[in-house]
Amino acid sequence: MRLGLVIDMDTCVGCHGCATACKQWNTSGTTGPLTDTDPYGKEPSGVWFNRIRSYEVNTYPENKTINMPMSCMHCEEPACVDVCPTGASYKREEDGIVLVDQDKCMGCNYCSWACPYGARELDAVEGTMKKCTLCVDRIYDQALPESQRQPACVLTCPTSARHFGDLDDPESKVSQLVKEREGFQSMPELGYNPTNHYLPPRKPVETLTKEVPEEKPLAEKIKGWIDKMALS
Amino acid sequence: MHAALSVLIFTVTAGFGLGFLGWSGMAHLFNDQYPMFAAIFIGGILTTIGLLASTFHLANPKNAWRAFNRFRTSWLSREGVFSVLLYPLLALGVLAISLDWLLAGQKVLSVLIALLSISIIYCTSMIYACLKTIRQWHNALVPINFMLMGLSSGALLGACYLGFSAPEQQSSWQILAAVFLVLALIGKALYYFWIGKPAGPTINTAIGMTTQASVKLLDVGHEGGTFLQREFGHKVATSEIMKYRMAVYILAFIIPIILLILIANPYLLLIAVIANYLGLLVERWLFFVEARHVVNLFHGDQST
Repeated sequence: MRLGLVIDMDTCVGCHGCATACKQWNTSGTTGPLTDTDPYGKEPSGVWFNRIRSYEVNTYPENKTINMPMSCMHCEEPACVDVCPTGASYKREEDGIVLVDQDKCMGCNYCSWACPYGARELDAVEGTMKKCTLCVDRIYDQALPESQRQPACVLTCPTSARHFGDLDDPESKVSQLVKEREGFQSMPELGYNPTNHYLPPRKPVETLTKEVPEEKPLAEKIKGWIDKMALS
Repeated sequence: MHAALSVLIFTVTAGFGLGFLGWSGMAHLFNDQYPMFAAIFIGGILTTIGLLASTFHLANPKNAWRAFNRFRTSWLSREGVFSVLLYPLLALGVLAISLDWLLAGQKVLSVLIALLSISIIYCTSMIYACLKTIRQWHNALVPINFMLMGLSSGALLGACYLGFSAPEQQSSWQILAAVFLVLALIGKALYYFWIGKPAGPTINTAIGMTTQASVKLLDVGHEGGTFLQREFGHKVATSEIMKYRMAVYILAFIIPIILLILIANPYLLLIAVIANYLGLLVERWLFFVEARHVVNLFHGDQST
């Protein structure tokens, strides 16, 4: 099993709802608290498992705004786990979730250097590294109704841009989405084989991009007509 | 990259101590008269200062003892394990010399000390060189540079040390130190040349979707600073970098080389050692601030 997220950049509106829901659930979860410093002051800062950045891709008139939420990609080849000297960082055999054992971490920051996705953030107050747990304390909770056994970010997303499932199973909803929509990984050339995939914006519908013949103003039309008459 | 002072002091000071132990161990193998006893103390003390400094950059040092756990995959762990193994060897070396054990036994210990010391420098360099996320570090020149700098500093310290303890052996060490300082200088110059040519992940491979379209950051998603920006965002203006590189060349290499060629007075050679130390601190600081982590791509820095 290889659990992960598939995020639709076509429908994501960049509302930060996923990040907020994540913070709310996980600050009292297994790797909580997600400490904040100066939360109501001039320089608010804190630990987040999920960050959303917005970009303008391409130039007018082909330009498009996209929003890219990023959390741990739960890579198949997690360099963050390999470099960890204490064994605090580990990847679960059974479902591929990458976690940090808060009791073992010595806060050396080395794993954050190895991660290209900025998924790991040091909690300076606690002295340990924190990261997305894929809501491991939620998705297996038998006390919750089955529809609720999903990461907080997925449940809260108002545009259903986030999908959770097993990317090892070709029949799963997430695998099908990746297949149909040509889902991609971020920075595949580094070879970490991230589990999370992104779905690119859908292509604009054909008719909208078709060239409409330009209607000439009346004066131009008459000019052209006179020219034609005069020349003939 | 953010350059933690503790890490700069650690890598430079331990480099001095380990390089010195490396040369001393080898010298003792070929030269019965080499003053190994005090050399073990000097090298050991410098290495220890470095290792202690390194623990200051840990946010949770109470778990530092666990760092020996992942020897199989982590260069940081390997560095820790080898560093701890060095101490019983140094203690045995001191014991062997002070109790005047069999000379062959003393020499075996000296060689082991030398090999282990050089291995530790290599491990330190691989901590940086193994990271695919930082293009300026992920290259064979990084371990070569660390080895050359450690060995040249060690030889320079040795030339100074012998001036005090065994002046008749000093001249060959001055040549050795000068040769290795020249090699280290060349290695560093090659490195600075090489990192001038960027290649690697781009904003296009980072956000996918397009292969060459322009991508402009509209909103980074937060107003205050984040850990990612504090840790990876630090950099120096390109126009300033040349000044620091010149400081590295002059302080770390050129002044010590000239002094080694011209004089043998150990007190004046101490100036060369200090210049080399300060120059390498600047070098190590540059090594960090010139390193651009790929996560900066997401924050709109496309020069990464």
